[in-house]
Amino acid sequence: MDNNKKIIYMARKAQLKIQETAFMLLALALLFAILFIFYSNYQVRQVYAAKNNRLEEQAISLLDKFMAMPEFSCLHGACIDEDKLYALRNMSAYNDLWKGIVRIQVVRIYPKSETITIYQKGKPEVSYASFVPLCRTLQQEGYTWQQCSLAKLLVSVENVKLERR
Amino acid sequence: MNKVGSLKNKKSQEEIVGFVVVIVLIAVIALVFLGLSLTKKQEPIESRQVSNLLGAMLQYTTDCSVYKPAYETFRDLAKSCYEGMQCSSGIPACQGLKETAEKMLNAAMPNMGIDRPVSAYHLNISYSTTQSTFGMKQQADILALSKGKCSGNTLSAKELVPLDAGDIEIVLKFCY
Repeated sequence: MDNNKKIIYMARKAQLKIQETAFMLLALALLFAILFIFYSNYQVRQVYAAKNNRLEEQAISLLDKFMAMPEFSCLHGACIDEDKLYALRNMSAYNDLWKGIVRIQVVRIYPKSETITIYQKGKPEVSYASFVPLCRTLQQEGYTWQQCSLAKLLVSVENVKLERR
Repeated sequence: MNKVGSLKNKKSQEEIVGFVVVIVLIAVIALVFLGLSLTKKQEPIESRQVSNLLGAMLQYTTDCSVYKPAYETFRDLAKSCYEGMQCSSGIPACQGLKETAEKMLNAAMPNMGIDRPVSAYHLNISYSTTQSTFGMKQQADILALSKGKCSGNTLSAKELVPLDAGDIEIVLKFCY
């Protein structure tokens, strides 16, 4: 009888030990799970940031190509010719060239603020912007030089989805 | 009977100490990892956007004319500043360079601050010789301009302007 009681007592004790170990393991698993959630969240955010950066870089390289077009570019150097812009404004002959584009603007930001809209058709959804030098050729006392200001080239398109930061 | 009780107490104390040791160990490891990942200094990333801005800035025609009637571009003004020239208006080229750079960067980044995408900028213009002359390498700071507090990642762009035996190095950095 005494032996039986001892066995029951020992079994209960063993059960308690197993329970204790199980709770300990559970707590550890929970701790690791929380750590993993934080880490994966951080990594996912990093991946999205890298993706957005890549999309931005692609958009900027597209704008570089745009800037190199003879319709915009200066005779010398990588810049936008202001006189060409004024000539191009609302010229319907270029409508086929601007296919898929909703709006093209050049915004002078320094020394004075001014917006030159070259083309607009519909409502812009996504705009790509890049800093460009906006130059015009001037003449004085038989000397010719380029007067450049700081501007932004804005090209707006529709139906393009970008991840927002 | 008392002996059995104290033995049980001791054992449970040991268990608690073991548990605490495990938790402390995990916490320390987690803290070390966290600390390492936070203090790891991020290298500036070359950015096309910043490069475009720097390129546009360098081509900007300033109000300073060293040799009339031509007006200096920002690129030429940096050279004139290094050579200690003066604008025809009487102001030193270096002052014109600083003022123009400040105005342009403020116009390009009007919404800059801690809670904004761009928190700070740094513009550094310096001259250094690429080849050492008589074993001496020349180095001179031309302009160092910064605004805001930089915390986090950095986007940067660099341009070299050749001058004499060396180059003027213009580095623009944006913190975001």
